[in-house]
Amino acid sequence: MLNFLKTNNLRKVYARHTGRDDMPEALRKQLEVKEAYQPETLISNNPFVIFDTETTGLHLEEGDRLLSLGAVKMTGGRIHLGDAFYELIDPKGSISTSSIFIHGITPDIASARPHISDILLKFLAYIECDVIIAHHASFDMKFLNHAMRSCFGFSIQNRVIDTALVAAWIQRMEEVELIAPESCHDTRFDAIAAHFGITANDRHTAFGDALSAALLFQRFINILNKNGVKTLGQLVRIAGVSIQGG
Amino acid sequence: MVEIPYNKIIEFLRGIVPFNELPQEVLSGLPQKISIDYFPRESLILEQDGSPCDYLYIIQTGAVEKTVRKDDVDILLEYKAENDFFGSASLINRTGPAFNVRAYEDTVCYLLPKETFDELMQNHAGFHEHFAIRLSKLAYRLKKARTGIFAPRGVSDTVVFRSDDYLFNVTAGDLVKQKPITCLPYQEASFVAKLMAREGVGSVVVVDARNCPLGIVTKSDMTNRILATGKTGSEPIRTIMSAPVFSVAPEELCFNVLFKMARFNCHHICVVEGKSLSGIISQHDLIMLQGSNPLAVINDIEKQTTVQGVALLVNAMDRMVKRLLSSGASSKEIAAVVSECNDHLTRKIIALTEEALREEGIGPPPVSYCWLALGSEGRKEQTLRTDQDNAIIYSDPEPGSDQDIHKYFLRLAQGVVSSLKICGFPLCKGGIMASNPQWCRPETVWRHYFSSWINEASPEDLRNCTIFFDFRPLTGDAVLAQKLRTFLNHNIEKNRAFLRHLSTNALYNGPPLGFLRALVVEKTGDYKNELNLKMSGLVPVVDAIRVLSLSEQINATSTLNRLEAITRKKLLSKDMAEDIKEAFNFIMLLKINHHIMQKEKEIEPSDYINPKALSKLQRKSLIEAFHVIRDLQGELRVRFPESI
Repeated sequence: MLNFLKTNNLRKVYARHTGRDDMPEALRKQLEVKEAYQPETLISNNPFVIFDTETTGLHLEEGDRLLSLGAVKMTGGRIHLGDAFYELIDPKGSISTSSIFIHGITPDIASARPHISDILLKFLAYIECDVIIAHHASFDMKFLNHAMRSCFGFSIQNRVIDTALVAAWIQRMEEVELIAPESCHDTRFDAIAAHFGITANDRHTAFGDALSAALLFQRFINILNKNGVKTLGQLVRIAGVSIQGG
Repeated sequence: MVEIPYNKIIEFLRGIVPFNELPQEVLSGLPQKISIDYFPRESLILEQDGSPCDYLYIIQTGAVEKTVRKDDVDILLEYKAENDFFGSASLINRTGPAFNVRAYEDTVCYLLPKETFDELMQNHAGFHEHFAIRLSKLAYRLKKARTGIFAPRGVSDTVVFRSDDYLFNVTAGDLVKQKPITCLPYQEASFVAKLMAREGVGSVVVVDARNCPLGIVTKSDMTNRILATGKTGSEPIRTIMSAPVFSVAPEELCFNVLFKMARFNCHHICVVEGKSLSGIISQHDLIMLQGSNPLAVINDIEKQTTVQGVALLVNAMDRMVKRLLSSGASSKEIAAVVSECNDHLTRKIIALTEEALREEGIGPPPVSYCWLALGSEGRKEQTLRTDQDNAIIYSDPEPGSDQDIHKYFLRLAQGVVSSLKICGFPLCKGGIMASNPQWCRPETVWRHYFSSWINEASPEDLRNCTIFFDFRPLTGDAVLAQKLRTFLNHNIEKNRAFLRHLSTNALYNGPPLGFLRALVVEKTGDYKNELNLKMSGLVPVVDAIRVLSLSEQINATSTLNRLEAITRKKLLSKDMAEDIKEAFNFIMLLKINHHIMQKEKEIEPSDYINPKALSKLQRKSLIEAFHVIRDLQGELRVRFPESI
């Protein structure tokens, strides 16, 4: 019931924001996400999308924007390289979608890259209703949702898991020194990856980093399982990232 | 979508034989087919006789062990580590895995699906051939494991060596034993049949007037193509020979020979220099090469009548060691075979030298004597040809006659030592050889040496003890050696304080373990960043075990036999003894492997090794081994508190 109200709400937000009511297929999928979430599903069987973003800088408020978006899929603990996602984004193109619907053209037509809204739609089609995972996910989600809201008026509805939170939890449980104190975003991931003997993929491409994060999460599944964390619901409780705004 | 940057994965694949054979565009297409799986340590990845594999498993990080279960015991087949793969046999044969594959460390594998694998096998000859050969090697290992040549796991000596096979080390020329039997194309079949019978061969090469091979005739050709088709013996041989024949140059590797045989499905390959035939290799020759046959080498030694003849067999011995190593033999087995061969060789040399002295009119040995093997030779721990360490003990002569008798044995010793040198056994730099007047002495003098070393125990005396107390009779009157051993045991019993000195000496060298399991390497000099396997690994074990064994009047000289005797006397726990055995064996194998590799690169063999150059698994095992040695030294320290 609540879900239905929420779904209806999303439609309204979209219509208000874009001035249209024909939601593209990928966006309509977003309406089903909440319904699809089954907290009792075993982590070991559940499909996940592990992703990473690259941005022009660290500060959204100062105009930094998304540069690239990479992701891999995992099912049954296995990463499928063939089912990967990688897009480069033209950072200048982050303008409101309503104008694009009116003009029918993107402002930066000279650029070979599709507009951010197209990329977001592709990404939404790729992730479907899966739980999505990133390292320090709130950072990536801030940029992604900013773009989402400016294009479609609402945020990504999928459940988000932060591998850094999983790592912190494991550190508490197993009393292992996973995270070097007072280190920045990158070295933290590097330190954790090094601890688990994950050989670096192409660092600092969104795809390479997404793959590294996936390799890390692959190991976490096993450790979590040993510590009694077996279901999606439990995972979300220890490492879920709350999504701000509608 | 933008092209996905799979570069790292493609690079990784390109580093793996036989993926390196694939063209770039094929390689670039592979990552899309691959999935990545993770197996925590000790999880079972493939199950023996389970369902056939759906993937080729390429190890990206970690290591796995292959074991065969037989009569409820797991027999270790081999380890596979990074950049290696498994599952190919099951994939190719579509049968359940013939062994269990278990993660030995936390392991990440790239999974290449069956369809993709099949496609590569079909379209890329190099790729296909690699797996065909791999399969036959694996079948060989499996067969050995099942017939119990490999020790059961747990009891087994850990072999962590990639088997560098004879295929890549022996050349076609090495394999040619004798001049091939040939005939001309127009000669009659009956003539060739008689030739085969007379020469006792199964095949004859048909050559032209310039000795260029044209074809080959085998016994079965005779039956199938003459008798079975009703032709007569007057048929010219060219009408029934198999042609063309395939040839290789003498310097080509056996791998290429096997490769050609497989590709052209033929049983014989000609070895040609230029165009002229110099030999023939059969499939049987290659099969024989795969097994190691020390008996054949020993027989060959026995047949020799000259020192030069013996010296020529030395290379065959080296090859044998290499084969033993790659077939997964333990260091004990290798050392036993090498000692056996060296013993035979030395005895042969001594017999030849005695004979030469007789022929020169100097006559036979004037009194009974015994040739003593010392040091590593005395312990039967020689692996390759190491420096000579030997001595002569002879019966106490009648008073006054010693000078002539000493002169005879010195002359014998000089002859033996120089012949051994010709056979590749370098002279001892410290002069510990029977040709040194000091070490060619009657019983009384030897007893005097031993008792003064035990009583005085100066650093030099103690050094001598570590070499001489491992003596073993090699040829001649073994009673002389036995009497000396009994004397030694009594003397030590009377003077137990000596053991403390010897123990202090044994603790002088220790394993190079630093803080937190790190390996300590040389900081400067020629061997910077390297560590000495012999001095920091083997010597401490040998020395410690010697002290313990002398303290219990154990007569055995080989370290592992001593260890067994010590354990029976409950000086060490069974578990500890097992660990020491594993550690000793592992370092020994590492050393043998290292020496063989250096020899191949024509570098002077040294005992220094760079731990970084070892595989992860080897390095880990080495650290474990050093810890065991440290524990052993601790035991020794407790039992024989340091002398001041």
